Amino acid sequence: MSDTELAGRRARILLVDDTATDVELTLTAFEDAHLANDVAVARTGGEALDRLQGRTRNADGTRPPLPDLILLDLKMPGIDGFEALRQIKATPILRRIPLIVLTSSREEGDRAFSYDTGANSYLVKPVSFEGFVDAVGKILDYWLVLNVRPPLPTHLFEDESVADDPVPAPALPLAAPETSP
Amino acid sequence: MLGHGSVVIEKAYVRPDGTLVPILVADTLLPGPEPLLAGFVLDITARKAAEDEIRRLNAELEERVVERTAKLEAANRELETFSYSVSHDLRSPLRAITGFAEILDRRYRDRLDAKGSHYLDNIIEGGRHMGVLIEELLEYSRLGRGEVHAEPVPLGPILDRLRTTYAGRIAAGGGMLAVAEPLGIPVGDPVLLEQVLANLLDNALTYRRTDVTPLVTVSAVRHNGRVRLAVADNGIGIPAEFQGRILEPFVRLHTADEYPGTGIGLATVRKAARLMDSDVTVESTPGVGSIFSLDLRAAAWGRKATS
Repeated sequence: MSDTELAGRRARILLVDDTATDVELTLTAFEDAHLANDVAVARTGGEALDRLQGRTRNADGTRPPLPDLILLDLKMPGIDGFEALRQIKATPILRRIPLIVLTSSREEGDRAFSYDTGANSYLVKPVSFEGFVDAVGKILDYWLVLNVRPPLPTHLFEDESVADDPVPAPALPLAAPETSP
Repeated sequence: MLGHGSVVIEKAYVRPDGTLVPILVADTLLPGPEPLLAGFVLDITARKAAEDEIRRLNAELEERVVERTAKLEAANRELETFSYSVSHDLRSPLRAITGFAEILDRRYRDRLDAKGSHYLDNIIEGGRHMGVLIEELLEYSRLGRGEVHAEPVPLGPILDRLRTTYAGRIAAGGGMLAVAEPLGIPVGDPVLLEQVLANLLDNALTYRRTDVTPLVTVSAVRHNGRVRLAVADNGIGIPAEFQGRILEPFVRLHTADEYPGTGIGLATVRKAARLMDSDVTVESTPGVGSIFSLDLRAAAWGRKATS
């Protein structure tokens, strides 16, 4: 497989994982699977939400564009993957982004929560690196190349005034909670 | 109880100072031309006190049993949660060790000399072994976290599945898996029973003698409302002094070079058996073979259940 291209550009992936060695392994697995995508890394669920909801700025002051795919770890400090997953899937637009839970947990409860909350796939981090390269190659090929999804805007808020506002956007204006008890 | 025309009552007299004395009054009518009423009054303070004491002790004992059981259950749960999270959290650093060792293997192997290459192999092999250990520990601690079912479990389909799963390993040794028909139907948990049979089969195929064709026989003999599920092999056997310990977690009798293993397989069998209110019995003769068996309740026959 060569670089994953979407409409002439490289696919953007948001990797959310707090374990540095796991991040490095995942990035190396992308390399070994010959997937030269643009990968952004968030270290907590909170960082991921900031980025997706337009509260993060690049060095040049622009907002990072929405990713084409989210890889989300579950057990993280602060806002963990469970909460991030819940908020992402409760937000219009964001819920369209294919989201793959990437965790070391095989727990039935974690799997059930992930699927019930709208995760698109659930991948257990294999202990073997070779297995990991294989899994990453397959899953990215499916979600970025074969799968057809509705179009996504570049940002959650197209209104640049929101982006230029130095005050962080109010917490979750779009996350109309569809929560059930 | 006295005879006809008798009265026995327990009541209390009041002392002049107002305190009560428990007493027993017994009267009996002695018939005859001149009927007589004979009777006695007995101070039963001591007996009453003893009765109260017994009641109090019984209640206290019951309370203590409930308390101890609750404590024991809590300790068990804590131990299970602990071993689960330990084995769970061990996975992450292990992934780093084996992952980067494999990356070294893929990208830098040609830059290592023979010694360096050998060390790297040791890291990768150690990591693999630890991976298996963690998976088996997880399996062990997971057992019984869910509900344990008690239902009739036909063993035929389970053995068919295991025959397929272990086909490669059975054939590799030129061995045979024999099933002694008819198989009795035990009452147990189907998942636990499959785990028990898989681990016992794995054990029998691992500890085989190289000088004979491995033969594993599974039987489930029904007798007196019980089913004795047994897995017999003609393997290396277990010396008598170790037969008691072989079912404990992490107890191994051989080095990993002689026979691969983690020492959790048979412990898992015992835990599963105990969850089904049974236990595992080991009979073994070194150089001849071993029999592992579980005594389980037999399922009622269908025709008996309907008649």
